Amino acid sequence: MRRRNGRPLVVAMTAIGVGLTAAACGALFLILRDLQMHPRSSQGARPPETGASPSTPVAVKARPDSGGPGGPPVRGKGSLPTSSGSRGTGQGDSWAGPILLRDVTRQTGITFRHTHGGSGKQYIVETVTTGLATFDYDGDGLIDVYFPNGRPLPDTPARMPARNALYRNLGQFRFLDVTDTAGVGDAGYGMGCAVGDYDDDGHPDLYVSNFGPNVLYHNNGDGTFTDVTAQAGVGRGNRVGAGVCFLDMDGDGDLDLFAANYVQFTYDRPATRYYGGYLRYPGPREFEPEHPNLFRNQGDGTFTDVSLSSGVAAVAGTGMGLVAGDFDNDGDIDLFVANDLDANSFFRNEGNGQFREAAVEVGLAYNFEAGATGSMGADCGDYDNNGWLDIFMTTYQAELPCLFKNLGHGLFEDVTTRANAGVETLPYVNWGCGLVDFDNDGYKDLYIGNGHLEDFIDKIDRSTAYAPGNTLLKNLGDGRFVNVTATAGDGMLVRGSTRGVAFEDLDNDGWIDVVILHSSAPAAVLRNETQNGNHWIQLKLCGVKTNRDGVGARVRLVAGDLTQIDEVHSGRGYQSHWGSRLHFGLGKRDRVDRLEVRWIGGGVDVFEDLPVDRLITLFEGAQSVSAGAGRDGAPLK
Amino acid sequence: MRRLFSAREVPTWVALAVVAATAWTAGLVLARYGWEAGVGLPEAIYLTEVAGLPLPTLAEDLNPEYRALAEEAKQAVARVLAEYPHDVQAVAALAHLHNLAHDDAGEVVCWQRCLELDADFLPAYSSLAMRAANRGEYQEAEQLLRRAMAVPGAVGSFAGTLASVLSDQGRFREAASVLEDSLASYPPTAAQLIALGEAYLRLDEFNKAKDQFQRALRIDRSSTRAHHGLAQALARLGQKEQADKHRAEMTRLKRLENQSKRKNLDEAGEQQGDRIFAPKFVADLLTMIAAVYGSHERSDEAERHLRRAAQLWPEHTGCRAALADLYGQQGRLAEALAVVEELRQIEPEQPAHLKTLGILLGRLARWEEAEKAFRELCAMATDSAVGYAGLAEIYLRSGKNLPLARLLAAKAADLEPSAWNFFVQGSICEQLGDRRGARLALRKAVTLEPRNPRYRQLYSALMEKE
Repeated sequence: MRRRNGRPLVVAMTAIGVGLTAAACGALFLILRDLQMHPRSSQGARPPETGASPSTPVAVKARPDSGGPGGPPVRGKGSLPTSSGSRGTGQGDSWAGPILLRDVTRQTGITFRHTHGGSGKQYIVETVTTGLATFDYDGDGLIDVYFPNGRPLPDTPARMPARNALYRNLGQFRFLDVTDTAGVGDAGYGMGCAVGDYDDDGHPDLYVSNFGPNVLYHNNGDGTFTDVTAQAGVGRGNRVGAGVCFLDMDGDGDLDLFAANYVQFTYDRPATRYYGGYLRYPGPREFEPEHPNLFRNQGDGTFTDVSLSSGVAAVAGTGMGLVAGDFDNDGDIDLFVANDLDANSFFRNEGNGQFREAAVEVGLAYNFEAGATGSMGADCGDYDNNGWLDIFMTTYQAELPCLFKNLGHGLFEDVTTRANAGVETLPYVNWGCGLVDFDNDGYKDLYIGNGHLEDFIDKIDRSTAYAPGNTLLKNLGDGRFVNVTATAGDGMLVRGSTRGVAFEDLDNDGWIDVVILHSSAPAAVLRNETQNGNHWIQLKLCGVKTNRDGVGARVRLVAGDLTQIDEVHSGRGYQSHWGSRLHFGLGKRDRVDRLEVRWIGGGVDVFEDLPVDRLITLFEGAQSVSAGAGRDGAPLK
Repeated sequence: MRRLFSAREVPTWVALAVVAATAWTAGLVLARYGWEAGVGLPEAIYLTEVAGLPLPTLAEDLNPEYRALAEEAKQAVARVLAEYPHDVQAVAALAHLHNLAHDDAGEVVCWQRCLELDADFLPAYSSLAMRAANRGEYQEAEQLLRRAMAVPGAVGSFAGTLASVLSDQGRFREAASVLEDSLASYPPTAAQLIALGEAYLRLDEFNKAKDQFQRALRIDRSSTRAHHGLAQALARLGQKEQADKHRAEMTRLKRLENQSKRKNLDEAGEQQGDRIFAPKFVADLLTMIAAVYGSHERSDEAERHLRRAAQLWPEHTGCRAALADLYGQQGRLAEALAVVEELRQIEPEQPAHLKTLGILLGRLARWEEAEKAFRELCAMATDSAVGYAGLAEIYLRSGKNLPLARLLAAKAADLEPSAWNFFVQGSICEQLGDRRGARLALRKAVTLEPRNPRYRQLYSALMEKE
């Protein structure tokens, strides 16, 4: 009944005999984010912006688990007084206040405006640009924002130079454009980006996906970057890029690099067909699919293309968003790639950096109805806190997004309708997405970015919109979501044709904020002003033997009756990057009983009885953690 | 004729300029499609409503060819609706015009009017429910579908859609119930069995799900959706080997499907693009309008619209079938025959065209050609009574091969025990002097259609003779 498989948008109307010939019944034309922070009281008072709490180092002993991944964790002995455990009272106590997201774009000073660079020739690349990245590039404890950008395509007059932009977070939702100083204003045609410290120097590096050669920016640690693409050997030619991510594919302690590609595009394939009286973009099936690239880190600042030998090049796909994680809990990192109007790809890590495509086998290739959807963005998270990472994927108009529940025995099941996970977004094209705990109740909510690719769509199809608002779904904790968009504040009234969305605690107040990239329009920043008195904890993982950012490390948190897992991901959502710091909402539980950290390619560290409402830095194998404190928006020391 | 339309209030010079520009554009495009000059109503461009219903305004930035076709359709719809404002089909035509013009609100108003005129008008329920479902307005869609299903005989047509709407709301038990009810009353379709299997999958009733998917595969072995569902059910039942087998088959079929889609991409794209879609849509609309005129015994207008539809889309079968029927009713058999020959060229495997051909040839007393047509029909549709009945009737009318005709008529009556087939059988028996056979067959014909004078007359005559 629904318009399946996105394009085209023409739906044959059910012709029911009414005395006319069936032919006469026509067709319906439905074109077709080390701080002690200030938990907000449930009375609603915001914390004072001055009067910071002192830094309180917290020492908690931990030792690496000798058993390795999957072995029994060794309990650390901490100096903190043994808590009687957290005072968890279960899920039902955290539904005290609605999620509230405020549009604070104007006060941020972020003036970035995206361009897709089109001139009306409707090149397909215009439709899919771009994701974005949020990361602390200068190590000041405040999360910064990086926007890739399109650029004028042939026949488009270059009225103004289009380039990528880096905004430094100055605190208190003020940002400064430091693109020139940082040297990251790549003028390539941006598609997405990911962040990872590939050379383990303690400074996060940036990989930008382009239509054209990709770019690797090495972070010099002084606020500047250097384009090292050529030395590193990760440019990967003149292809149409998509989602990218850093991952330690072989557990050797350094970060490798995966780059999805979209289609084999050439300028001699402009749009030629009119639909409903307007020139439409061609769909991905009108081009040959492209195999992804996988680069193995040689440990000397260079990479080797192992696309073929690793097995990932065995499958060509119309890659878009992707996410890497340990989906089968076997201690290595697998990869999920959303393919546009094609079977999705699931690259199962065979344990040695060899991958085997197994999407059909595990139930991730198609939606519940065996349809190859117009798959866009992808994120993962344990939405039902059962200890297995689930996958959420956005799709095209008239298709339901897909929440793939991880059943835990090598199978996923599309539970979208059962979980009510985005059924309301059916009329819209969905892009950025995130499984994020906005109300700190311990259950990951869902944020879905909406926006059409045809800018004339409002003229011909009233069921959808080119620039609708986005959608927010609250996780009820019982395996179902409820749409809270209408009650979640003016941030949900922001209109635009959303592409990438990133989720970070931009003001270090313990509540996850939102950054949205709109196609051909200004970006938006939403501040999370939820007030329900819930507690939280943020974790910054620092690998020692393993990769510095802890990318791929798995954390299992126990707070009373609440157990959560999460992993550090590099590259996720719609061709974007966010969440290098892990964030756990805790509801009314005011201690964390236990933290287990399984380092990818390393051992397991266990930390016990941790304070909450702060960012804690966990060092691999360290005997203590450092819990910083600061005031709202203040840089961490 | 009363003034039916009010012109949009615009300055005269603007109106003149727009008339000139539009006429020029429309003239170019209509020339391409060969529309006869002077047939349209140029003033319809300015109409805003007809019969109390809004006429769509066409956007200025539409592709000129598309816009011209839409204008043509607008004039035709405006005219028919002005003449027959209470004809539900005419209002439905306006609803389709609004769809073509991307005027959603206008379309809704028209469908609602259709339901005011005829509460059982299923296309209105179908369109309104589809529109609501595509917007995620499930409650409204459900309400419409349930109303539609209250119309006698409509349950089977809407059960699948209602089940889908219920499933999207997480109401899987209700979805399963709707489908079970439908399957209990109507012949099973693969689509409904798959939908039922999926409802049971979502209810974690894996054995039931398995059964339904297996039933579906017995109907359609190449359904990737059924293989996918069955693989999921089997996997959840722990039957991994079997699940793998169906996944493998689904993958194989998907690969073929993908190859086919890519191979036929240009063709498919063209089919959905305006170059093909728009004239087809307008041809559909004109065929609808012709039906309205036909139902009001305006055969001249019906013919004119059908001819224009055939001209707009050379492969449009609906308008040609209607045209052949119209010519046949008017005794213009040669013209009807020419149209049927066109239909056979467009759809050579369509038995209905052979049947019409045979009937027309028979009416023209071209017995050998008619016999050939019905023989082809018998070979093409061996399980259908039509060919045998037609052949028997030809023999009856031509007065040859009557013993064979009797056998053929008996077979036709066995396959389809209709009054007409018994009538033909009885007539042949009567010709052969088989009074008992004639009496039995004619009695069945009269029993099935007691008010048919021809059947009663022959039966009475036979009884009198006895």
